[in-house]
Amino acid sequence: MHIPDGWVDPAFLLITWIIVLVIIAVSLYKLREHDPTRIAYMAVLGGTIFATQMLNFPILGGTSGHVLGGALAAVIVGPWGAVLVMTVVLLIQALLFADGGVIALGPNIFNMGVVGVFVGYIVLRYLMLNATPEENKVRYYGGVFIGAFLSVVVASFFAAIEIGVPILVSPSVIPLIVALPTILLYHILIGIGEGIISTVIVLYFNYIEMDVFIEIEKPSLQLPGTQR
Amino acid sequence: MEFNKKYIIGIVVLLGVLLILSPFADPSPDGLEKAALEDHGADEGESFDLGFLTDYGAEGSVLHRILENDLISTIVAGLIGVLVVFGLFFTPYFILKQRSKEISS
Repeated sequence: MHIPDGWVDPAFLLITWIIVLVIIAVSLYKLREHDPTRIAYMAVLGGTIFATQMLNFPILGGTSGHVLGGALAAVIVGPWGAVLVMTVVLLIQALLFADGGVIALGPNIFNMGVVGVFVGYIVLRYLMLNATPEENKVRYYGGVFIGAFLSVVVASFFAAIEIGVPILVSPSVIPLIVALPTILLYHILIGIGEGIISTVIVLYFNYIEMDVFIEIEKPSLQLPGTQR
Repeated sequence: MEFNKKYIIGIVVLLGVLLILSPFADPSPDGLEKAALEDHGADEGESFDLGFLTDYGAEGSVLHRILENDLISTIVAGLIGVLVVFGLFFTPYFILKQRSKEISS
């Protein structure tokens, strides 16, 4: 879902860059509150997400999809940690691997590193209200799946707006009304892949004794109505 | 916190499997590229290209010219990416760990 340079209207570039820079600043500030374990987990998640993103899987004839990973990172290290994980992955992809534009890092980090992260996270947190992961395993892993699925669909919706709505100039016109159904269709299919792969990776991390429930047990973000 | 052996081996195995699989990824455009470029005729966008690891060690990149092998070039490019990500996170990890050691001693 990496947008190259030249696709996004300057108005959206400006808006997404501002939002992204503010959220990265907050995430860096919150880094001081994280214990070293969580930061080690962020490293492992970053490496895993980078490698998993390389594995494009086929969805429809001639179309592929890859894992975004924002939801996967968020359910384990929380949204602030996950924003930094995704920022690092996307930054390296744009600077070293020519994957996604550099000016388009604003919208790319916004879609995959902010929208994807928070959607996946909020879905799981609300599904786990008054429930502990140890006693409600099906609900927990189901929540990871649904959160990951929705993170892709919602992120693609924002990507479609950014490349499909001309405000100042439209560098490459892809009318939103026409393109949105195709983009959503592809990303519903990619989202199913994202859900399956994210859930399998969380199960695997749990199997190798990584503390995957750390964020649900000690949340780094207090959501309305989640007071215990 | 010290990580146990099972965890460290588990991570190495996971990353190893992912990287070995990476050359066999589907080369088709992803959902967004397909919709924009092929279905709705957008212009090819641009990317910043250093030339060294272009498109994960694809043909034409410096790495591919050195290794002269599609398979190995993709795996090595992926490994370099993973190591750079690790480096960027393990630096603050070791700083924090050092600090928490100083506080507890």
